[in-house]
Amino acid sequence: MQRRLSAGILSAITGVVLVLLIFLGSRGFKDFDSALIGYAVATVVAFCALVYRYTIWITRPPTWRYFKGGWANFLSWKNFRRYLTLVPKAWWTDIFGQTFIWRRSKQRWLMHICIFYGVLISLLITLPLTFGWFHFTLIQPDNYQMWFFGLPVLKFPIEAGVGFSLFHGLDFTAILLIIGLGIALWRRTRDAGLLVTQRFGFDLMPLLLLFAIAVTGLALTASSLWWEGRFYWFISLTHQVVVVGWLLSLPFGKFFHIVERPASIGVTLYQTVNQDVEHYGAQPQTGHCARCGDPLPSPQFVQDLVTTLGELDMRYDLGEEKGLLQEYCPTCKRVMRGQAYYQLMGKKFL
Amino acid sequence: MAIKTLFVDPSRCIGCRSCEAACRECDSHKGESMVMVDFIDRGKSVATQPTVCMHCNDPVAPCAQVCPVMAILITPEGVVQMAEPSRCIGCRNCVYACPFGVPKFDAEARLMKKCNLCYDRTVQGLKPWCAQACPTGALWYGDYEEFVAQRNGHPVNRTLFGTQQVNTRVYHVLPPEEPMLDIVALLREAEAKEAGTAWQDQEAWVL
Amino acid sequence: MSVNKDIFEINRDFNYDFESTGRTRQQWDAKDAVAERLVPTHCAFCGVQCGMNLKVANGQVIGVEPRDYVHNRGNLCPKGIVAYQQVNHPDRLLYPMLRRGGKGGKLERCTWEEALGYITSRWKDIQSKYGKDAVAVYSGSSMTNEKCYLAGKFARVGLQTRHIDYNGRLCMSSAAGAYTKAFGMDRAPIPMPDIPLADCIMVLGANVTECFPIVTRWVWQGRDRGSKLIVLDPRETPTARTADVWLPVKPGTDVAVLNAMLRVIIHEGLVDEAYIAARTNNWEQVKTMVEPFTLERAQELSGVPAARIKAAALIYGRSATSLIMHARGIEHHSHGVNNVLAGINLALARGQMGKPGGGIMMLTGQGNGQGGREHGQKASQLPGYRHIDMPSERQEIAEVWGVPVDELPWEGAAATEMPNLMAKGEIKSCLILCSNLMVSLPDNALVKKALTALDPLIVIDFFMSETAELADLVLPGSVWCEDEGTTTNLEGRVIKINAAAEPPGEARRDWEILCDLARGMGRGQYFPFQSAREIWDELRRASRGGVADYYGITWEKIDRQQGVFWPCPSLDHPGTPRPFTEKFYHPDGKARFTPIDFIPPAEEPSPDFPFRLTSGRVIYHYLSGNQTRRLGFLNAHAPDPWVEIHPQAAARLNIKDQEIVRVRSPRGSMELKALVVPTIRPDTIFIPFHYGHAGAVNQLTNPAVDPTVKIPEYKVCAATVEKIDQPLPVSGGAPKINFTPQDSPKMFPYAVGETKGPQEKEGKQH
Repeated sequence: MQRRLSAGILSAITGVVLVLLIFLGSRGFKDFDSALIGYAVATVVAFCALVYRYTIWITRPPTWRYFKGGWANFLSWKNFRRYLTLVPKAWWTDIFGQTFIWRRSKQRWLMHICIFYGVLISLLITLPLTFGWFHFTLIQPDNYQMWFFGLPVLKFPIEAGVGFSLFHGLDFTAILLIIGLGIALWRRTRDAGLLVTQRFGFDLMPLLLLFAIAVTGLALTASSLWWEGRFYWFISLTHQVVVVGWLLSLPFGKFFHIVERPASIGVTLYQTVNQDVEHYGAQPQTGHCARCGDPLPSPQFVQDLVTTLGELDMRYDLGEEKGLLQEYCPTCKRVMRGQAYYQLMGKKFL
Repeated sequence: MAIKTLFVDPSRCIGCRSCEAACRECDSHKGESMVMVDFIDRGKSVATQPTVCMHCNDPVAPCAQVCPVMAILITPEGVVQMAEPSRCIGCRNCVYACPFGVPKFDAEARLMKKCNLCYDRTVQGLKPWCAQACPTGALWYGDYEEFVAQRNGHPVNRTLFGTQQVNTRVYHVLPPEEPMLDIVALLREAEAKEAGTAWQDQEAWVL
Repeated sequence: MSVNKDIFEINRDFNYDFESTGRTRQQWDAKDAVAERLVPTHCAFCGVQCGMNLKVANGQVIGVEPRDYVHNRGNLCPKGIVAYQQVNHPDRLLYPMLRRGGKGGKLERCTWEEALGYITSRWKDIQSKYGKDAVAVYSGSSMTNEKCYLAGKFARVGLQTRHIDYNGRLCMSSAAGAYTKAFGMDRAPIPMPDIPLADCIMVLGANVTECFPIVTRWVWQGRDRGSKLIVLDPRETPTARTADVWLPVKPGTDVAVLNAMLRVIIHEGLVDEAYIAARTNNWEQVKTMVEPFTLERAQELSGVPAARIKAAALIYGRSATSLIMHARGIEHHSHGVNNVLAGINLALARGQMGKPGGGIMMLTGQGNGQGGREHGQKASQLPGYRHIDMPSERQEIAEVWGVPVDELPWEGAAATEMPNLMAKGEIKSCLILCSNLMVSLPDNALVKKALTALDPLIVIDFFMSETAELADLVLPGSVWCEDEGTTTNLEGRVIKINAAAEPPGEARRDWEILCDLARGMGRGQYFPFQSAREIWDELRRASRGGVADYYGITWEKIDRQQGVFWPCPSLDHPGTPRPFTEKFYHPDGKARFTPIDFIPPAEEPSPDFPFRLTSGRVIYHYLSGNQTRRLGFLNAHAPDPWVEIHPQAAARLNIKDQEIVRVRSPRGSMELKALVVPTIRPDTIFIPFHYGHAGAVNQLTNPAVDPTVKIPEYKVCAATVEKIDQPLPVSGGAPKINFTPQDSPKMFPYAVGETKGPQEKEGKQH
């Protein structure tokens, strides 16, 4: 209850702040494009819901422990030097380069990188636009003036490269998305394993929504460039409906992992630092399995895990000389169970 | 309809690793086995034991409970699924929280994998691959009544790890009258027995 | 026994599977595709021949699915599950390779035309200079009946050589000989699903759980019913671990235990007198023979405690229905036939043979070990289990083949005798198919000498085996699921193998290669076959009227009935699942007891060679390992051989677990890892036999063979174990030699026609 309340408050604050920022950024709604109001409202709602869900999620005992642990490690001066290399590397492997997906499968990596950058860049372009933070004015005869947050930032000619790429930025990302989604959908209709395990709502729906967004977005460009504006109103309405749908589903469906994912950087820091000799001084304190001596992640990891389990009302105390079950490696857990079983069974056959 | 689940009877296991080979054939985790066959102590005996996910239901899936990103989902039927790949961040909480030593972990792929009771096969009415292939019935799939009708032994789904009891969807097959698999008590018995008799001191057992 | 992965795996939490698959991730990803169709077929490995479905997409075999077949009920062992991975394996041979530079040169790619031309010109040359018999064929049993039949016909009609034999000689020929002698027919008495009907299952020298995992299914099912299990084995295998009685026998002394058991059964009045009188001969001689085998003597000879022998005898003797199963453990001996006959005596004395669930059953090891020994690729045999020295039987086959009977060669050399003839230069060239002699024959130093003396040595295989490495010409063949045909499993059930893919590259089906070679030799008119089915139809006609009569078995009937048991003499005959319920197949319809005395193995330990070395299979490998050592999952679990040694022996020698040690026998030595385990007799060591080169246990084994069937004594020879850096002093002492190949009667050449006549037929027909 407590968690829900604080999540609700946080999410309300987010809403208020965001609306305030929109008000300021669009110079009191002067630069706000009223045609985009549907997008803006949906984005604000999605943001509030994301914050709500994020808070609920981050305050779960296991997540909270990592959250705190990650930041505590991060804010320790001792570790700072390490982070100069560690953090950028983690951002690369876990977020921007996504090398861990490369390891899972190369095709999958290509698919994901396309979708990731397609979505990310699209959001970077569209959010400021719908909030009225970005704003363009025509300077006669053939230059544009770009405004950000009510400040003039860039002046560029209509026909030149910058203008072209800015105005067609969303077309590029749409193409990127279509490539990625094409691979994804191809995989999901061909791969025997995915075919039986995927769920429509969770796995397919978000892909289809994104696909519809990309296609209708491109159709808008096509309409204005080649079809002399025919169907524009219809396409634009469809596009808006799909985008609003996608935005509203963001906090509840598969795409929640976009905001979850950076947590893996915290985890990487936590895991690395806890095994780090420097961190603990002269005595390296890598954990060891109580039975076979194989390395465990780290004593702090085990300690934190035991505490987390305790908060979830579990305690695997094997007695004085044996310690806690979490101090054993997975193989030894299995073997110990086997030993117990065979103490009962001997060479009997049931 | 009665719940279909796995029954594990290591006493019949011959260590052939059919289950492992079969598990690797699954389309959803090709080339990797989620079942593990372990020798208990090859230095003493050829006894082996297969381990599949026990699908804990009380406490509900410790692995899922300790997962910081809620990557491990539990189906309405109580089957604990493997980590959702889009969420798993590779923290290893589940690997070390699991009392049975089940989850496998690929650090570089930031991914935990485990048995999901062959979700892909069971939804089609097939047996999980491991139980399908197992020539000995050490891994057996079906419902409780069916098992009791066909086989000896007493299926038990309670395991006691010192201070923590875990009830599972999957059963161990124990001798009759055994209420649960009490790991610590049995390990103590085994140690006491061993302390008295080192094999080196034994007489040659063949002539 | 397999090794503990925990010993070898360092990163235990890590997903090691991909690293050990032997296939790249891309190969696994190819499996992503959804199967277009399932091809029902059977496993490539072992005589059980489990039913399986192969998943096929885009003409490629991409996986396996269970098949609910009557004898395996969807179960598969790990070999069966990964068998399909041979099909697209990167090690497949894709084109013929010729050693153009002669011996010492390199194997180079050549065309089929060049290869076939080379063979036929060399063979014609050799045969015109040294006679037809200077070219030999060495075949195998891990292929379809059609191919086995064709190999025999190819040698006798295509090459007109008397020298054709096959690797079944090394496998279970002693059991085949014993069954023929005792029952007049070499077949299992019951189908596998009958096994659970037995109240007592006695396993003699068979590690059922590892070598025939699917048979375990039926044994365990019997135990669920309450059947007792007795296991005779020097090792406490997973079969023996939970047995009611385990008889840890000294290798080579099985007869002592079996005779003592029979004596107990006689003295307890447990023999089935009525059955013996009605259905058997020679009982009195056996009774007299076993009388001196008291429990004390048996204990002294075999090392099995008398009390255990007695307990086993009483359990076996008091069970209403009892089944004996045996395999290579009692068969791979210089008295292998005797061992099996001693087991048969027990089954007959208890009146079990012919009972549902009772009798004695051989667990044939090779994929088509049963069918392969019936259709004339054996030195002494013609199709349908006919004997090549019997005039009437020669006549029948000559008519089917359309050749003058005088042109048919006589009996040739057994597989175990061939290396001697090759080394001596009597055999100049040999075609080897479906065999890996460098791993499978005993004393492989001699085998290597023999094979290198051949010019040319021609090998048909689909992977580069240790034998193919020595060849002058290697021809790429097909794996089992690239061809169709039939096999006969260990029950005597004839089943159908279906093709799921085409041979890759320039590889061809083996029967096509043989037909082409026959054409090249100018004998094409006898080999007009266009399909495996045509060969099958000729095989059916050729076997008609023989002991192994396949005439009534059509492919359609096999599909309809889930297999057909031979004999099946007519098209409307349903087959014979239980052939001995009414009669035996000697002229008088009775079974024969054979009095068996104890004969020690050919070589026994002495102070310099204190251990008995025995060899055997592990679950992960098949035969010479040429196939299974290439399949990642299997090989990862047993990549190298090891020697199992008891902790007491190891302590005496100061050997630690996992230490590399040297094992020596009078013939050679090898270095391998010690697995110190109490699951083996302290006076015995065990090495698995699936490995080549420096890992081949056949560097050490004794080439002594059984006097009648010439099966080698793989299961016992004298050996010693030493630490690598502390060689034991060699006092020049030899092991105790009881018997040498030279002592044994009737080594090749046999006098032509010497076995003519029905009385001799049974002795020779093995």
